[in-house]
Order: sequence, then structure tokens, then C-alpha cells
Amino acid sequence: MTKLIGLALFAAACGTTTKPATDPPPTWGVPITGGTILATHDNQRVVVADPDRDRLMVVQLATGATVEIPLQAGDEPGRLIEDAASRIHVALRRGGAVVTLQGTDIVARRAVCAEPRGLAYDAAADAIDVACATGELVTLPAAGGDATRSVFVDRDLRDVLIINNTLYVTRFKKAELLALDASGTITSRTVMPTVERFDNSGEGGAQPPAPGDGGVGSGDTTGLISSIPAVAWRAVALPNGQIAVVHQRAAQRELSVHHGGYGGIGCGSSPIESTITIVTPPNGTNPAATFATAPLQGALPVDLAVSSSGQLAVALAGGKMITTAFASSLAADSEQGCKSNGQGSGDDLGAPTSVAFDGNGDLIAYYPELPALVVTQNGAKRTITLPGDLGYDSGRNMFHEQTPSGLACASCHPEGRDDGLVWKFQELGPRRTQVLAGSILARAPYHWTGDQADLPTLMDDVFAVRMAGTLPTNSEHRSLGPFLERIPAPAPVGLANGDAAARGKAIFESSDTACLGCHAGPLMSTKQIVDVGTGGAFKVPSLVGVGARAPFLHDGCATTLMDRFTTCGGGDLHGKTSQLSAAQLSDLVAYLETL
Amino acid sequence: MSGSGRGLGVAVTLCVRITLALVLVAFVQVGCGADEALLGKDCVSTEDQTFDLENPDTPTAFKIEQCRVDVDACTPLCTYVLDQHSISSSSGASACDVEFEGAVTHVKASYQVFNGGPNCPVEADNQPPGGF
Repeated sequence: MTKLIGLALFAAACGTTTKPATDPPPTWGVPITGGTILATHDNQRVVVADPDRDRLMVVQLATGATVEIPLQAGDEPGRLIEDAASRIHVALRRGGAVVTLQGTDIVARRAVCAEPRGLAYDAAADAIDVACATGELVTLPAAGGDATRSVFVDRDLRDVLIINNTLYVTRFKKAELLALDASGTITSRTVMPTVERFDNSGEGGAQPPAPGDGGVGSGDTTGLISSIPAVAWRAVALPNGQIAVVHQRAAQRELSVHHGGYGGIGCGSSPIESTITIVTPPNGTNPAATFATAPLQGALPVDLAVSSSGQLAVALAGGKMITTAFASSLAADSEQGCKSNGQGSGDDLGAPTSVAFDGNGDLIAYYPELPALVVTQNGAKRTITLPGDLGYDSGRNMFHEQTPSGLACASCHPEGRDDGLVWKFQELGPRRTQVLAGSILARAPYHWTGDQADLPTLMDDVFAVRMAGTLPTNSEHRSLGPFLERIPAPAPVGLANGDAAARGKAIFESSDTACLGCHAGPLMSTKQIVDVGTGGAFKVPSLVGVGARAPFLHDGCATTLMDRFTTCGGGDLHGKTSQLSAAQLSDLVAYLETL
Repeated sequence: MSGSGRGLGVAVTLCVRITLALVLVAFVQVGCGADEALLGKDCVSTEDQTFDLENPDTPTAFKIEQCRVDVDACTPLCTYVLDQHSISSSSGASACDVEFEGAVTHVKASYQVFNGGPNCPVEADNQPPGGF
């Protein structure tokens, strides 16, 4: 009896404590995009766009008092800009609109395009310019009203800047800076610089010469590899008229599928480098842009801010840190690529996704998971905890986590999509990065040859082996798929109701072309592994969102969709299109761009 | 801790201790087997530390909340707490057990230390993470 009473007391006591949950919580959040906070001109407020919770927040810097402004589910607010009348305009990345905030009230919501990205305020015209990933540049009157202009510039637009009355837009995957004239026509196209460097990967590439061997500084460039620009996460204007861009660079060396095959531990060994490039745009004196470029330590340089005194701050979400430096003090790029630029630190609050300076030069960083702002004033830090439940998704965490290879999943799959690159593998040959967004779970098996049966298998192989990360936990295995599943496919880049697209649809569905034999169903893929004359047997890729993912085919041999039917693509082993005229091929391409 | 009564507090402590002891025995058995095979039983030993966290700072509270909703996030919490207490180990927390009791979080972290015996390998320096 005494024992029973003891057991009862024991059980009752145990009931007062709780253990951690063993099942992962519901999937949460969206891929990190960066650049979702704004310090207002009056130095009193920070406006936070919270893409993970579909809301805006207006935070009083002095007190931390916060007003929440709910948006529609799935809006995914992104970039913000303030106009001369203190209105805040916010791009809704998935909502396809711009909302305008006056104080804490939404006074307008205007549809702009399928995927609005960057915003700029044109003070001369009192207008907002909106860059769209689908290629349009849309101009809205700041005070309200319909769009006054929509011109097609180029696909995959990102940030918009207005400097000395010239409009600049960046392109995300290509890391390009386009200058536009008043009509929206491209007047110059500047690509971030390619850098030649020694391969420190230990993957069979050349190593930097030992001191005294010549090589560096001697003009001997034997063994140098190119590191090409990619994925321009953010661009901002500097006070002196220059433009700072944080982007990635991709080392043009072979990767391997064995352990650590994407890069080893140590400087300069990662195939993807975070980089800041300071661009001096062409002007009357200098006909061509000039650059200063420097590597940064840490993966995923998702945001960049500049203070009125010229101090730079970069949020490195993969490295969970923020680096600050002055442009003039950035260590110039070197062949060895082992420079450490700026002063980096983290706040142990997860991944910082956005940074801003207020007019006093205080640095403000946004951490969405807690959520919180950290304000750094004269070296002292103050945390403002924002309203909202903890945002936690181990799959999301893993997706953005920097591994010992220096990479995160999101390095090659920014925003859950792709980097637009073709990587060379020792064992596999060329492989164009695949898009993750868009019904990922239904697209198993994975990789070009379908050799990865499911996501946990792929995670164990790619994250833990190739990227040299830790073995995924049970929670990560169960969470990554649902997180990725919620990322929609890229929006179509073509007009669904165009005549050409309608004709192309008929061609696509014709038995003569036999496209539907493989590209059928909701995914437009039967998921068969077939050899269509492109260099091996590959899984039929989905065509949903295909227009947004050039270059095409496993080796990226087709720069455009038209190239797939002309330059390369397997000929009549890959559908039957040789009988189509140029006009019919053009119609077919128009249709594919509507998918 | 502000429990409803001393008797209840004792029972809780008893409960926690028994639970932790069972977990510890399991981990020690598994862990020691692997260590002995690799390094010899005199090279590595497992130490335990228990921390009762009340009014934690923001970063610690953040990690506590992550652990609360996902047991797989608890080992990083244990490693973080060890780091905060300047307890060095070769690979962070080797075992971690967390319980929540009102405003208090009980964190028990196990970690391995090298004994540095004459026939033991020299502990490698921690390598910096990949980067530039």
C-alpha cells in the first residue's frame, strides 16, 4: 500500500513537468529573401515586413511599442520604401501587389505584377518604381492611383535604384546591373566581375604557390580558376553615387559526390563565395563601370544596408552573423581569397534576414524567428522583442544553415528556386541546378537521373555527405519536405491569353509532336527515366514554371527555350518537332512560357 | 522554484533524478562502448552538468523555446548552455535532457572530456568553419 501511494505521488509529481515535444511543429515560414525592414526618415520608427507571418509591424525605436498590421494570408511582404510624404510602400512578393501605409493604416493596395520584388521612390515624379521577377518595371503614383507605366525590361528583376536621375535595376540570378533610360529601355548592362583565384578546395585543383614559389603577385596564373558572379541578393545606393551589391560567386571547378565533395574546411574552399562589389556606374567621364570587389565570410548574404556616413552592414543568414565595414576598408579581392572583411558578429537569435541604419547611424537587425529587432548603438546592443509566437521549422533552419562546406542549401537554391548555374561533377558531368519550388513532394524521385528516392535520402546524401553537414535529425527529415512543399512554382512569364500561346498549346497537345507522352498531368511530367537524345537517361522534368529557369536541360545547353528546339535538345528523340516552322516553334515557346 | 509545497518539490526532484539516471545509464552505456572501441576507456570520460535556467537572457530563451517545440533542438541548447558556462568539450553536448517546470527549465547536459592518458591520441584543435 505504501508503495502504491509512493507511486501515485511520483506520478503526480511527474505531471508538473513537461518534456520537449517529440513530433515537429507544423511547418512555418518562407524562404529567406532579405531586405524586409526600413528605418523611417524621422529616426523614430522601424517598419518591419514579416513575410513569415504575413503582417507589417511599425515599431517605435525609443520604446519598442509595436503596432501590427495584418495582411492577407500568403502575401509575403518584402521590400519597403518611404516616400516624401512619409508613406511606406511595401511589395507583396506573393500577393502580386504593393500596399501603402500611412502611419499604421493601409491606405492602398494596388496590383502590380505576379512577383513584385524591389522598390524605389522617384522624388522628382513622386512615384514608386516596382521591379518584378517576371520582368516588368511598373510605375505607381506615390499618392495613389493606377499604374502609370508598365514596361518589360528583362526577367528576374530584383532591386531598383535611382541615382542622379538614372534608374538602375538588378537581376537576381545573373547578378547584373541594368541602367535604364526614361522610357525603360536598357542603356547598359553591367555584370558583376569574374575573379580568377587559386583553387583551395583540395579537390584536385591547383593550390596557391608557397611563399617564394612565385605565382601570386608574379604574374604566373597557372592553375587559376574563375569565380563567376551569381545570385545578387541585394543592391543599395551609397551616398557618393556608387552602388553596393551583395552577391554570390561560383567557383568554376568540379564538384564531387563523395564526402565533402562540395568543398572542404578552410578558406577559399567553398564553391560559392559571398561577395560585396562596389560598382561605380558609367558616367560622362568613365564610359565603363568600374568595380571594387571583396569576399565576405559566411553564407547567404541576403541583405545590405548603408549608413549616412557610408558604413556598410551585411546580413549573412547562413552564417547567422552580421558583418560591418566601410567600403574604403574592404580588403580587395585576392587570388587566394582568404581575406576576412569587416567585423562580424551574431546575436544568437537565429538567422538575421534584414539590416538597416537609422539616421543616427544605429544598426538595426531583424531576426524573424523570435521575432526580434536588435539595435546596436555605439556598440551597445538592445533587443526589442516583437509580438508573435516563436517561428520554428527545423526544415527551414536546415535549408538556410551553413555547413562546413561553406554552403547552405539555399546557396544553390536561393528562395527555394535555383541559381541558374550548371555545376560540373567529377562523377556525373554537368548538372544544371534544379528548381525546388513547386510541388516538390510529388516530384520524387529526385535529381536529374532520379537516383534519390525521396527527400530524406537526398538530405542524407547531399547535406551530410557532399556538404559535410551533420546527419539530419528525425525532425529535419520530417520538416524539410512540408516547408519546401509550400513554396509555389515560379509564376509564368508569358501571357496565358495570348494568341501565340493558344496556338502553341495546340501544337504541344498534338499527337504529331508527342509532347504529352512525357510532359502530362498536373506536373507536366510522367517522372519516367528516359533517354531523349540529350546525353543520357534522365527523369522527365516538370514544365511548370519552366519559363523562369533558363538555361535548360541537364547540362544547360539551351540558353533559351527556343534553343532547346534548335541548338540542342535531342532532336526528334525528344518529342517530334523537326517538322515545325519557325513560327510554330515560336508559338510553342510562347505556350511553354505560360506554364 | 516556487512549488506548491516542499513535499511536491521533493517528489519532483526524485522524479527528475530517477528519469535522468535512467537516461544517463543508457547514454553512458552506448557512449562508452563507442569511446572504448575508438580510444580506450582511459582516454575519454563523460561528465554531466545540470543547469536550472530561470529568467534566461534572450538568446537562451530563444533556444529554450525551440527545444520546447522540438526535442531535436535540445542538443543545441545543451551545447549552448555549456558554452555559456565556459565548459569546453570536444564536440558539444553528447547527451541532453531537458524538462520544463513552470518558469524553470532544467537542462542536463553530458559532455565528453579527454583524459589525456599516456596512450591516448592528442585532441585535435578545432578547425575554423569553412569560409574565406
